[in-house]
Amino acid sequence: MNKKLLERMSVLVSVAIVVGWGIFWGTQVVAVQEMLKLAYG
Amino acid sequence: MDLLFLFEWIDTSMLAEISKAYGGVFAVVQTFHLGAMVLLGGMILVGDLRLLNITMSDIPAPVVLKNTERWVGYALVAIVLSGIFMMSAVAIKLYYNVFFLSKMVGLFMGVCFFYLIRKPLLNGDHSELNPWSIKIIAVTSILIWFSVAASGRWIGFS
Repeated sequence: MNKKLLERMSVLVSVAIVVGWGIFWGTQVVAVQEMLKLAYG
Repeated sequence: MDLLFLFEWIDTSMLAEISKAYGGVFAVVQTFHLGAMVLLGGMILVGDLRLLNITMSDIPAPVVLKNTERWVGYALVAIVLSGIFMMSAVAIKLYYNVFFLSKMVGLFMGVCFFYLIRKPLLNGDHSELNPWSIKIIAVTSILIWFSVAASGRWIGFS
């Protein structure tokens, strides 16, 4: 595959993963806090 | 797709009999699993931090990546083999554990990202690549593998 095309696709996939990761964990803040409380008191 | 049959099959396999009956064998395999995870995490982090120009900036990034990528492959093989043995001991419990699913999805994403994006794109000369492309790939790689490690740790809490 052409390197420039691969670079563009890689950046697109990376941005999608980072944004998706942020949105997902952003909606789970309360759940994570509760679980940390359960785990560490 | 329901994978319960697969977990039930593993739960009744000879592998499960060994992992359930011999705690010592389980502990030794777990040691290899954890060691391989340290190797994988370490190699990924060394490569990604070099791509972000945080560590070893006096060594060319392609050299660092070339030397770390081989070990990532070895570590993955060890992780998967020892992981199958370990999961056979508690297969049904893990089937209903959401963090196990999260870890497996993360692992699949990490492997795909590593072999389909990070390795093919960053092998060779980086001068023709946009420096920001390299940085976003490094950050994404760290995020994915951090999620895998965190999900794995959370299996123990749930």
